[in-house]
Amino acid sequence: MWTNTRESKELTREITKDIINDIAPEELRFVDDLIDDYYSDPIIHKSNDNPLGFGSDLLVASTPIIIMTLNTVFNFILNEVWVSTQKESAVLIASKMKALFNPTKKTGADLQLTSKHLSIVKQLIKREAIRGGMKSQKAEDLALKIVGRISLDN
Amino acid sequence: MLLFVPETNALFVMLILSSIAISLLAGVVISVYLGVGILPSSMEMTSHGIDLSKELFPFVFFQSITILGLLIVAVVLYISHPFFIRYRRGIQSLSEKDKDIQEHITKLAAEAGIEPPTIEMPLYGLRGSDAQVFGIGKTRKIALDGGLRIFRKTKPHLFSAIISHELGHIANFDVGKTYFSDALSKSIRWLLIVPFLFVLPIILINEVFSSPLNEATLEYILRQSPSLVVFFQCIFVSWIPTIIWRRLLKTRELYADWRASAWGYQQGLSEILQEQVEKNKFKSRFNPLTFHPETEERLHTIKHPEILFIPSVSFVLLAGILVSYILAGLTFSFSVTLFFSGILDAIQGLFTGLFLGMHTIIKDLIFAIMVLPIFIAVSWLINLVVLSQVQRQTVMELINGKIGIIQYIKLGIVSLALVIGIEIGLLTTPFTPLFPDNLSEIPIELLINAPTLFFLVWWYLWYLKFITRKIYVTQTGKHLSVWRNRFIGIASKMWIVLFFSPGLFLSRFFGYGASYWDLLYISWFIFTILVSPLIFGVTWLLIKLFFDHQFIECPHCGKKMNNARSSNVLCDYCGGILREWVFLSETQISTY
Repeated sequence: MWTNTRESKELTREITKDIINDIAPEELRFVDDLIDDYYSDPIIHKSNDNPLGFGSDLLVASTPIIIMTLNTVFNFILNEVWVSTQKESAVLIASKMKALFNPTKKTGADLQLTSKHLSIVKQLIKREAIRGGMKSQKAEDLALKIVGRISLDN
Repeated sequence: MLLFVPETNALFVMLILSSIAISLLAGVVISVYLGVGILPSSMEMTSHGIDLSKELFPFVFFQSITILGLLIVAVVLYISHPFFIRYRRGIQSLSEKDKDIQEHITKLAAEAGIEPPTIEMPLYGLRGSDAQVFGIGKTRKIALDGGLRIFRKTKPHLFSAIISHELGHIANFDVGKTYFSDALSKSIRWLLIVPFLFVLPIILINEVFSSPLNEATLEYILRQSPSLVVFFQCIFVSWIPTIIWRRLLKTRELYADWRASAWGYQQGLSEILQEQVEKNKFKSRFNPLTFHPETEERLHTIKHPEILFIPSVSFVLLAGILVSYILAGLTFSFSVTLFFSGILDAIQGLFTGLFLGMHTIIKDLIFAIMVLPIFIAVSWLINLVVLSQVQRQTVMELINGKIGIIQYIKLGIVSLALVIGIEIGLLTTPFTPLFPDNLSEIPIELLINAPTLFFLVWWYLWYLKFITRKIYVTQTGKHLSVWRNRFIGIASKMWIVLFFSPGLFLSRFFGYGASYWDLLYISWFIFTILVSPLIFGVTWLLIKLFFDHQFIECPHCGKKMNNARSSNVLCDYCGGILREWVFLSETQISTY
């Protein structure tokens, strides 16, 4: 799976840092540590009810959630939109994906998402962010932020 | 600094007593279903020699073994809890890179005026935001999730709120009690409840299918079979420690939140709990396996701490039920007494002279040793539960300025709850000889015993409220005087030991045809009627002499006012606030 490749992780790191700068700037100085921590065990473990603990299940940082949502978006694009690119090299996919997520660069016509795709992507991001523990409003903001980056390119 | 008898203490005692009571009851049920041993009659205290001892042995054995087993497992679980917490959370002592976390928490502990705990957390990792205080004896440690490393830097006010809540547990002295209670409830669950839930239905099914299933069989099962009744009784009895455990968990959290709020972290806690509430909207509401208190309730209590001062009728009802289960322990006391009496009778023939004189004394001593713990347990429980309720209610009334006869009349509700609890408890005790089992005895229970008990409790509550109010109303300063609290405690215990507990015990044997017990009951009744008003008067006199300061000096204008009054009232001359009051910080007073 492309999302497990080094290229994907690098791209994710780059995009995450940009988004964090906007939605949780206080995390910026820890973002590298948080990304490394996420990749050391990418599974989100559900917190068990511990009656003897404080009972806090708060979202510690937004970084892991952003990575989760980006991976979900990448998978959707590769599996549902750019099905043909799956056979291409990781480097090439990364380059196309980077172009898609980079609002400052215009890309080729083969990397377009339709408005319907964008709507699905938005829903996916929101659902994944809430699953990861983000509040509904913040999840909506995150979804808009990521979709905004994509739509700017198209 | 403890404010007054904390509810967590009362619940802790309730859980221990309920564990012992449930073990004894389990011993009864086991020996009856195994068909070994006999149940002693409540009034039959005459020894019948070694034969009776032989018959009683299995009964005494099973009760002793269940109680011992339960307590041993509980102690082992309690001692091993730090190991399991460390294993489950993957924590260890802080490394050099995290030493600033220890410094941060030491500072918070110093501000709160408590000994700084040691911190443990995973060596690596940035996930999770939970914290948990634990430790055996005086050792206090706080386990932190790795995510709190980030949290401390990005949202330090929330980090401090979480830690202050955990420090609140240390300040409330509830850590050791909680973990021992946890160990007890686990041992009850795995040693008693689970096996019973398997074994009793098997017995029940066996009874159904051992004879042809027709109308007559069904009628027999419904009317005659003890298994069905005992099954439901056992379910109810097993349910009680779970209720107490849940309530204990809830109460300790609410009081730790309250403590952290008083230290200035109300805003941080509210923020955390509010976020938790919003997250919970996306989760399933009903989860029977969740033992943690509802976040909404915690949030509500932080905003309205006066909730903690409202007396709980359900709590008193629960205590009443438990009183009956403890009373059922009398069966064990009588069995052990008869068992040893039988042995003594058997060996009596081997000795002459001095031993013959000692024989009766030893028997009486055994009886006293076996009955005294039940008497003490009931008195201890009633004192803790009722006193804490009355104290809180009095504080609330003094704050609200509600002082009048209506408040005394309202105590009738608490009294009624306790008596109803006792009756429910008796009704649900398996194989108890302490509750009427025929129609002729029921009117005695309902028309004599229950009403007498009701008025007895009510009278005790009047006394308790009177002295609590008299003593608290003249209390000055933020810290409750130890001597005042001690005086209330001694007065309450004395009243229970003299009037309440003997009445409760004797009422269990009244009207069952034994004139000896009936005479004792009537004597106790006359004694209570005559002596209790005297005790009331003497207590009032002592309060007048030692606690009731006649004058209070205004700290602003220096003028003296005639009568001592409750706090937070204004000076008659300059209008300044006379004094800060016990229990509540200024911030909390202003919320009322």
